[in-house]
Amino acid sequence: MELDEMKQAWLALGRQQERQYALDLQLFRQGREDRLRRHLRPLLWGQALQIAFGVAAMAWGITFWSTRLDDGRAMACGIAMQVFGTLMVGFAGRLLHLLGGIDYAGPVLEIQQRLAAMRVWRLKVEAPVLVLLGAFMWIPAMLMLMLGATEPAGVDLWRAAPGLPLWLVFNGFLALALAALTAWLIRRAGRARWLEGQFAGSAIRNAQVALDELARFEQDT
Amino acid sequence: MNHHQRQFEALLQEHRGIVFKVANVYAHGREDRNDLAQEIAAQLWRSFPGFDATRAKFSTWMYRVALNVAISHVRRSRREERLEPLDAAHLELPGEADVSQPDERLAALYAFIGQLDPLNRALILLYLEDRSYGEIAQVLGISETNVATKIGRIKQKLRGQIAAAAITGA
Repeated sequence: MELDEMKQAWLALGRQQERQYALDLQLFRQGREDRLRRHLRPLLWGQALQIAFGVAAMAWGITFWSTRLDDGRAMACGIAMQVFGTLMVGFAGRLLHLLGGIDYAGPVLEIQQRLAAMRVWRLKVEAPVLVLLGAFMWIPAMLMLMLGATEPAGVDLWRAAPGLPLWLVFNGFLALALAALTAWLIRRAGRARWLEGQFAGSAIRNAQVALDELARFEQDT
Repeated sequence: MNHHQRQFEALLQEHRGIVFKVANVYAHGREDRNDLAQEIAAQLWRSFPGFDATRAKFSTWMYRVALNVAISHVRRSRREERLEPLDAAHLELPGEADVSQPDERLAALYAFIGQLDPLNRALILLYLEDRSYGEIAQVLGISETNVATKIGRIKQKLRGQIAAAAITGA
């Protein structure tokens, strides 16, 4: 039994099936395409939420530092918050822009490579950057909240607790160092794959596998 | 309904077999197949304003969109990493509740396609649909020589599997 022989059976079945296929064109006539894009909703909502959160962080940061131009440390906190918000908006905006720019009528290999590369970049670059920044952002956020609470009472936070910023930064680095040490010990114990699996590793692996598969398909001549 | 939409719907009706054949090869079961077919149709509608009849045949353009949507659908699927193995259920006629007795050749073919990765599935689907090597190359974005080599390899692999199955069955 050869592939060409199977092809004849395939074409015969296709002709038989084709008469019975019916697409629900009603959905288009009613302009209800959104019903057909259910799968995109979580991604779009997630990115919209990230943009909203980023804009709020930017607005808070800008309002904060622009009203405290005489206080360098307060300004630094506000600017850090603004940068964090900008990155969140930038990453989400970039992804939405790239997704919107994908032309599904392009050659399959090229489009799939672009989609896979986007997924890998998002998981390997964006996610760690936001996680790392997020791990430290509680410090300026906490200082900003404390400053906001103490200023109306006429209390100078920097004078009342001069070691506080350094103490918070020290704690931030300590937490990071402990996390790095734990990761190093786990890797040393030969459990690197388990560790990767715990932190979105399977998603990264799947995206990378898809990218490798596409590259193999392209090169395999 | 405007002229643009009427034109699209007429073309879609004429070539609807492409949508369902692609959905059939990539979907997980009946419900998923219908969802995927509608998703492909929706993307075709969105991409239709960019369709240029002087640059590509409608069927070529349609295969590109349909396969891109279907492969992305498979990559997104969280249910399983691998594609679902194809079986007799994929040979049923749309709208029929019972699975008819599948042709032995088709059952073997579906079982074979079920082992392929998404891109090779696209390649074999286009080959089975009697598309020329030139059109397959255009759809996938590889050279005609590459298409010929890959199809040759797939045929060889199929021959090997059939031979192995014959030995095991004997």
